[in-house]
Amino acid sequence: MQRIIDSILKKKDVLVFLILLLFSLYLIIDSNYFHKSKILKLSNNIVNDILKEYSSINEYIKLKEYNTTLTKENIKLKNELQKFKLKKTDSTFLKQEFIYTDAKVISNNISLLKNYLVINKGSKDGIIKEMGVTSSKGIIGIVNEVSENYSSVMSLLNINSKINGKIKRTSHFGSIEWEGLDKEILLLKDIPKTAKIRVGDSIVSGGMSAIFPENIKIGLVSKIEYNKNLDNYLRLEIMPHNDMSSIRDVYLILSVFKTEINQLKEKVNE
Amino acid sequence: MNNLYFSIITRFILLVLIQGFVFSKFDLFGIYDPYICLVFILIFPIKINRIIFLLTSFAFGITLDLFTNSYGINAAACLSIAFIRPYILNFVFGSFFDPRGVKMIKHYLADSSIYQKIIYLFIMIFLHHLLIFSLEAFSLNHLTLIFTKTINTSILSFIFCSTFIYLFIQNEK
Repeated sequence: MQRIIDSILKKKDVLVFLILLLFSLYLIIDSNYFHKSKILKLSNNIVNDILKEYSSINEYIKLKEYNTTLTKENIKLKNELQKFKLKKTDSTFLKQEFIYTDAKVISNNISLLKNYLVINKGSKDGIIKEMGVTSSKGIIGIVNEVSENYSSVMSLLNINSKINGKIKRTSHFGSIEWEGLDKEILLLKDIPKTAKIRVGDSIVSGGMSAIFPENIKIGLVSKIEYNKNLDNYLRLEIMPHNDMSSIRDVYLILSVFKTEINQLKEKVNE
Repeated sequence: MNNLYFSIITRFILLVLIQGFVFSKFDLFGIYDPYICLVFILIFPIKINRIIFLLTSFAFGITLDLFTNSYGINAAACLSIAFIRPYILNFVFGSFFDPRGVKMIKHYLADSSIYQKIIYLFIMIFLHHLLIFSLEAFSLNHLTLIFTKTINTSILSFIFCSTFIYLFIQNEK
C-alpha cells in the first residue's frame, strides 16, 4: 500500500494534469450537449458586464456610421408604410404574425469555428430560445441560449448553423451553412442542378420555419459550381449582405404562432 | 522570488486583457485572430514548481474562455501545452536544458540558435492551435477545415508571439 501511495506521489504533477484536463473536458462536453450549466452562467455574466462597458465606449467611435444606417433604414420603412397606406387594405386581413424587439451586440467573435454573439437582452426582456436575429441589412443568426440579462446568438458563421433559405427569383429551397474559412462565403445547399440560377440572384429566408418571416434578405449568389460528381446538387456560394465583424444594432423576431406550429409538428411526428 | 511572482501576475492580467480586448477583434485576413496570450506560457519561468505552472495555465485558459464564450477549450489547450513544455524544451534544447531551472527561459531563447528558437515556438503554438480547433469542432467531419485553420492561425500567432517575446527580452533585465 505504502508503495502505491509513494509511486502516486512521485507522479503528482501528472495527477494534477489529468484532473484538470478531465475537468476542462467536462466543461467542453457540458457546453456542447447540455445547455444549462450554472457555474458558467454566473461567471459569464461578470465578464459580460465588463464587455458591455467596453462596447459602450467603443460605440462613440462608430456613432456617425451607425446613425447613417439607421436613418437609411428609417427612410426605407417610411416609404413602405406610405405604399401600404395607399393600398387601403382591409384591416381584418392584417394580423400581426411576428413581433420585433431591438437589442445591442456586446460581444462578437468571428475567428473561431463556432462563433457566437452576445446581446444585451435576456429572459427579463422576454427573449426566448430560437428567436430569429436580424440587422437592418439581413439575417444574423438564431438565439441559442438565454440568461437573465444576456443571451447568446449562434451566428451565421458557425459550422453548426443551418438556416432555411430560398432563391427569390426561382423559389428553390435549401439550407444555408458555413464552411468555416471565409466570412464572406456561405453555402446554399440542396439546390438541384436543373435549377437555372444566375450569379447575383438574391437569397432570402424561406419562411419554412417559425423562426424567420419569409423574404428577409440574406445575401447574393456570388459563385455557382457544377461539380462533376454523381450528386445532383449545385454548390452555391453566397455573399452575405451583413459584414459579420461589425454589427451593433439587431432586431429579434418572435413568431406569434410559434408554439402553435411547434405543437402541430410534434403531433405529426407522433 | 516575490519579484518573480509579481511579474507572473502582471503578465497574466496584461495578456488576458490584450487578448480579450484587442487581439480577439483583430480579424486579420477576414477571420484570423492571432493568439498572443500564448506568450504567457511560452516564457513562464522554469524554476517555478510544475504543479503551480499547471494550475496557473489552467486558470489562464479559463479566463480566456470567459471572453470568447468557449467554455473549457482554451483551458484544456493551455493546460496541455503547459504539461508537455518540459518535454519539448528537452527535445529542442537538448543538453542545454536543465529541469532544476537555474537558467531562465530568456537564456534559452537568447543563447540558442535561431532554428531552436523557431522550432520551440512553432511546436508549442501549433499544438495549442490544433487542440483549440479540434476541441472546438468536436467532430471528425471537419478534419481539413481544422488543419487549414490551425496552420494559418499558427503562422500569424508565431509572427506576433515572436515579436512580442523579442520585445520582452530586450526590455527585461
